[in-house]
Amino acid sequence: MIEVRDLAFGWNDTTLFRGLSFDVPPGEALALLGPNGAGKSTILRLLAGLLRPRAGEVRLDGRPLGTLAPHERALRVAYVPQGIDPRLPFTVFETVRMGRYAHLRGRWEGDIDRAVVRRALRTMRLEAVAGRPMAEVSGGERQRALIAAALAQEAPILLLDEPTTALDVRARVEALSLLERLRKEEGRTVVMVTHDIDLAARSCDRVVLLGAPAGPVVGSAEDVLRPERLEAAFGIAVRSFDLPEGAGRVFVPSYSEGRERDG
Amino acid sequence: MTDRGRAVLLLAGGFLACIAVAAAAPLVGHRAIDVGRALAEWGNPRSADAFIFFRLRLPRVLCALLVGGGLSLAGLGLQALTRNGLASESTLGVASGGALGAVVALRLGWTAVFLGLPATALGALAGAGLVAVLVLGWAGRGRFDAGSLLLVGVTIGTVASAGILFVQYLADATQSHLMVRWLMGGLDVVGYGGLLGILPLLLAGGLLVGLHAAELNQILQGDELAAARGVAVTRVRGAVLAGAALLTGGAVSVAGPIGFVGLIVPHTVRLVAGLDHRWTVPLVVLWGGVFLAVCDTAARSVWAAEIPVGVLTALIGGPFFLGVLGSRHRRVRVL
Repeated sequence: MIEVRDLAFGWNDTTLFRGLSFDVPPGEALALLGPNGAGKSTILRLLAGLLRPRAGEVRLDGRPLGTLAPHERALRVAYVPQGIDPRLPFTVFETVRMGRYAHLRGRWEGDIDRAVVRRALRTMRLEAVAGRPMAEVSGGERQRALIAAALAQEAPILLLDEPTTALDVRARVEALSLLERLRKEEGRTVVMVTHDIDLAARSCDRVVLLGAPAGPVVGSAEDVLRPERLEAAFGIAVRSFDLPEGAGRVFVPSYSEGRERDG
Repeated sequence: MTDRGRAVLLLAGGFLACIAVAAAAPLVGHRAIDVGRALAEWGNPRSADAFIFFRLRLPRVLCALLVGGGLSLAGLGLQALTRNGLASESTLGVASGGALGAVVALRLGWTAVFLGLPATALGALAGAGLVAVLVLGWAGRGRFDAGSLLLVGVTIGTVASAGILFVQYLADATQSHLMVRWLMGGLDVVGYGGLLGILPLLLAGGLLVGLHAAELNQILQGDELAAARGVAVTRVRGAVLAGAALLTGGAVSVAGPIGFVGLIVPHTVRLVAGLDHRWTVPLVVLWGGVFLAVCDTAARSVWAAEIPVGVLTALIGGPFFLGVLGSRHRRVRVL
């Protein structure tokens, strides 16, 4: 259970957001949506304990995040950044194996750790490239390696920063169904930053929409992802269409409006 | 063969090489000695063979093993911490600070000996310690940034070098010669006093860096990801910086600024055995020691006059390193 209360953050004199409160119950997925620079990744890093809030607090299962030692935090929360420096000469296997740090803290891997790493590699379909340096695999494989490392971390909460941007259609569908499975079968909680409104509507129970002048909007995906709210946040008209046979809903921005603005 | 397989071989080889060097190098030198007699006359102050073996050559070889291992470990730690393959034990400015301390001691003509360490070593320790405190204090405040740390280190190093030139300018010809000779680096220790004097520094520094091997792996991927994985990044960084400063200060105080060891030994080890610091930490300690001991043995025995070991580490190490780099460049293993 993640509880966020009256969270505020800003750099130097600017305030990015304030008074942000929301809960994410176990097994649920929450999307952080909003325009560039609205603070989506910042919220994710606050949830990961990588930044300190200016005000308010984050609690994990009732315990304030700030009171947890780094390794205790990492046993509860796994964070997947948008990418890492691809020049680093670690192999895909080493990258995934290093997800076990919080469990080992310097000790050598045992049978359990090796099994967990193998399973994470298999889940993300990385066995074939496991021995190759991160620099030599594709952007999508790198992204999958980081997700696999987070799986190897075995934390009940997964924080993902734009997890599907570098993935092809198939890998994207697989990644989303994996997240679905992790939530339903293992009760893991997922918080993800995304620019993909369709994805948020399809895969997330709740949405935090940032960027509107009135402040962040928090609620169920159904409630928040409405054209007028999206327009307030992004400053551009967005229409939604229901797909036939209950296949979900797609969101289409008004391209003509964008052209007029650019012109 | 896997990185791990190569690492195991390299580790076993490193232990054997260390023992072989420690046993064989004291036998090499301009003057042939009878080992049997040296061992038999151990402790006899009038035995020339025992004196050369136990008081001159053995401490010198042990000193080279320690200093080489220490400099290599400092280089390895700093390269991981700054994620920069060009970082080395001299990057923090600690070595230059030590050198400035030593030339000041020479200029002032100090002759004090404390804990077996001569005045130049004490001056070097003081200079290295001062710079270490400055750099650590700077790194400990506000947001840490590896690029700025390197710039601060290089700047302090440049200031110290200017200070060295100034002190040299003020010195007379004899002092100036001694300074130049000291700055070339050398391991001409006599007896075990100096060795025992720096041993606590090297041990403490070695533990501070070596016990954080797993954390250095994580930090190499980026501070933020390391923190997300559960590493107490600020604490580890402080420990490794302090450890590197202790190792460098200790090494420089007895041996002068011996360059290049902390750069090429970690790189060569990584090229062969991969990036995992849980392997590379013991490997650089062993092979760094062997490398310096071999260089120093050559420096004192191949030519009639002793060649400064700092000159030889670069002359032997440079081409060797280029060869290693060339043979494995396809593996994208360079940090």
